[in-house]
Amino acid sequence: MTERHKTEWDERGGHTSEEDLRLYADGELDAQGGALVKAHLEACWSCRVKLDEVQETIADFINFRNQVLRPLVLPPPNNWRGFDSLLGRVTEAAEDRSLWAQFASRISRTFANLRALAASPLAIRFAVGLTLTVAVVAAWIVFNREPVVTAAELLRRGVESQTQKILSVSQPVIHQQIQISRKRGSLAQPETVKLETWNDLNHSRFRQSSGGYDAGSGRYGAGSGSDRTPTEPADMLIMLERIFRENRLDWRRPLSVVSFAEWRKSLRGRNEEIQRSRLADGTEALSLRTISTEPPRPGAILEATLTVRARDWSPFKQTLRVNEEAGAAEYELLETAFEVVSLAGLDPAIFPETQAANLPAATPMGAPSPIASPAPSSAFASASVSLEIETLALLSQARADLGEQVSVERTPEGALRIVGVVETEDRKQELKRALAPALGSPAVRFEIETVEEAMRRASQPAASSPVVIEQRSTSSGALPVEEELRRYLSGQGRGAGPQLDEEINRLAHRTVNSSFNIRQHAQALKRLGERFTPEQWRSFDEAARARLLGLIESQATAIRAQSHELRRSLQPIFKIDEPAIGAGAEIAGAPDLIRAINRLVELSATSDRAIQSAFTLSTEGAPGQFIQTPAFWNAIAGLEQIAGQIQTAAARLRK
Amino acid sequence: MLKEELRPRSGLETANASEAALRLETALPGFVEEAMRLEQEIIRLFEQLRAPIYEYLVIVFGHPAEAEEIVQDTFLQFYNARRAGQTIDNPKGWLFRVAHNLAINHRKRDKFFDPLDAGDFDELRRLLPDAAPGPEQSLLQREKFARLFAAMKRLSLQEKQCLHLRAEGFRYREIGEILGVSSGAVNEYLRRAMRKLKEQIKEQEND
Repeated sequence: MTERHKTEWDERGGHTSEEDLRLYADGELDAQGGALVKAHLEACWSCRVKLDEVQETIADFINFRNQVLRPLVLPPPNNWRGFDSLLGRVTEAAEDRSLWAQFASRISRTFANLRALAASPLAIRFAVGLTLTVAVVAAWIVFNREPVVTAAELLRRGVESQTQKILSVSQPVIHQQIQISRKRGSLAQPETVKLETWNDLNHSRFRQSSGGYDAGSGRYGAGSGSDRTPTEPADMLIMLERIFRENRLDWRRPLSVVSFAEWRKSLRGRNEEIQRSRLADGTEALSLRTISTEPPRPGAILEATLTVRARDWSPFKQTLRVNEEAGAAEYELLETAFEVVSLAGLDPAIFPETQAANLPAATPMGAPSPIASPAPSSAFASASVSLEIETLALLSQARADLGEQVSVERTPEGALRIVGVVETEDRKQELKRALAPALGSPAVRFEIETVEEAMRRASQPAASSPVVIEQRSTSSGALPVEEELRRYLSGQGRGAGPQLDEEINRLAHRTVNSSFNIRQHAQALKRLGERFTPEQWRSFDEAARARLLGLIESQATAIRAQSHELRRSLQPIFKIDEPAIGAGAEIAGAPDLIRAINRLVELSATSDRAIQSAFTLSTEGAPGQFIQTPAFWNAIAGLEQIAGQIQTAAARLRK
Repeated sequence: MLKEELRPRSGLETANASEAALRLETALPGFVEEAMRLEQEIIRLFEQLRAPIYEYLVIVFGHPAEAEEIVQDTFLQFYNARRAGQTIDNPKGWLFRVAHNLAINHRKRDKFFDPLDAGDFDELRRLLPDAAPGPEQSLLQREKFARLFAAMKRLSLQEKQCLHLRAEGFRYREIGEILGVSSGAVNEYLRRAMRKLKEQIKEQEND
């Protein structure tokens, strides 16, 4: 007990303060103080009651934490998958340890032989000395290796290094020069193009120019694409921009750690390795190679390598292996210059105040051309929020709001662009017809193209109707839950042998697809929720608000019905009883609604991952187990419940 | 660095030379075992402590996906530290401290999930899975939770952190080490936190 406490003690007429009672209860008083309080408590009723009050507050907090806060914590989205392999990679420290293990066992075998021969003590002693020396040296090597950096660490440091550079400049504009080369097939000559970008972070402005393409046309590909030759750099850039967009890479920062990390995060499965190398100028570099283990879809990045300088973690090279129609293509982006400059010191011609349709034709690497505004004629036609909602509703009716193939974007001038790639001309025309009411406005542009058009524009040989829409497939072989499925289906009398296998596959297929569907609906819901700021929500007129809530309601309805269906189909397989799913209380207003949507997205991601890992073959970790836990069944029941709440709330708020 | 202990010897091996050979045979793989043992230690700790650290990160900082990555990263750092020969007396405290610091560095501006963002307890209760413990809370209990919820919202980040870490069984000194403050400061945070909790509960009980 401190001096201060002693004084207070006296002032309180010899009673213990609440603070001391808590310190006493927590065992944080020193021996003397503790003994004093203890003796006093034995004598004093009122202080004993006060101590009970302290304990009661603690109990209240613990109950609240255990019964309210902790059940709200969702299980980790990846269910700790990957940790074993991460640890394995770190501990193995390349092949050193396994080599060492081989060496050790060989030595001990040799000694077993020696002993069998009962060799002379001198020879043994010599061998012992020699081996010990080798062991000590080997141990020294193993323990003095530099710690291996993990992928997460490399990316974090990379992001920090880039952020620091950006923060050190007021009104930062990132200026990058990048040499891009593409190689298709091992025999082909690489094609090369130079790209120069300016990215004005404070004003979200972006300009780009590339060596060898006609900047006067405003945008590559926006002009007449038919007279281009396959080697024209613009085509490569169009292709690459599309690849970036489809793989969640940021085209505005073609060589950035943040963008790489986003892509990496979007992968459902990956293998990774980190390599250390020395560059020609003697500096050390670290490369993170990430290989996607997802089933490859057209246009997907199969693997990517990001190389950073070990000195300052700044990225300077990125390679992408992309699954193109004609086979895998390699893109290499090599940074030739990087600087963060202040907008004040920048050539005003780079970001002219008005969208200049008549920028002087650029010399290679000369003045940049605008890329964000493909059609200057309608640059000033701005779309209202109502029109935006209407467009979203029309897209939703045409079922083009699931997945990320079609989206509605706003240009900096406020016009709406409906962009995307669809499979066939029929579908494109269908969407055009569906969107007709919105397309009447000059502020809405229809920029959806067919895969064939996109390929032609990129001077790619068009292959027979490729499927771009993301699909899932279950591979053949044993699934993690094969046993349960087999038991369940054969119990239902669904045949035996190959017929049963067929049934199992069909059920797995259906489950995985239905779960994926739910997740897509949840993401569509999230996009709707996030699209408008709280201020915009408040400013909606009656009709626009009702329309948006109607969209939300229909997505929630779909999620509720589908997750109900999914849960009911899974319960008997895993012998789970029907849970009591209450209606839950009311969602009061728009902010609550957004929170509920976020929660829904989280739940759908969690349950989808569990289903995905249980019903498909996986290369990582020990999958399939999560589906057997109460957490999974809570997630899937919660999904249904929250979807129901959102549905009800949206219907009510609409009126 | 080599293991001193030997495997129990069989009585048949008596010759000095054989003994030396046997000693070496057990000592060598023992070294390999040392590395394996460390790996096993990490895996054991990981299985034992990943859940409380993860929960702490999600409750205090939000964002489950990020929390998961941080927890894994923390354990890899622990492995690296141990392999570099560092002795860690209090692994649990060490892991919480590193995870806490990583979370602070990592922290995204947008929290994905913070239960205390909810407008009131009723809203929060809706998010609770029905099968979670205590769905049939008595009215009394529910009212108490509602008051606690209101009280928790009034706590500062440090006060919340101290409460959760104390609930994890850390002493004031250890909490101070994790948060990078003195134990006196921890005491002060806890004093304020407890006062706010008590006031809120009492105040409304008297309503």
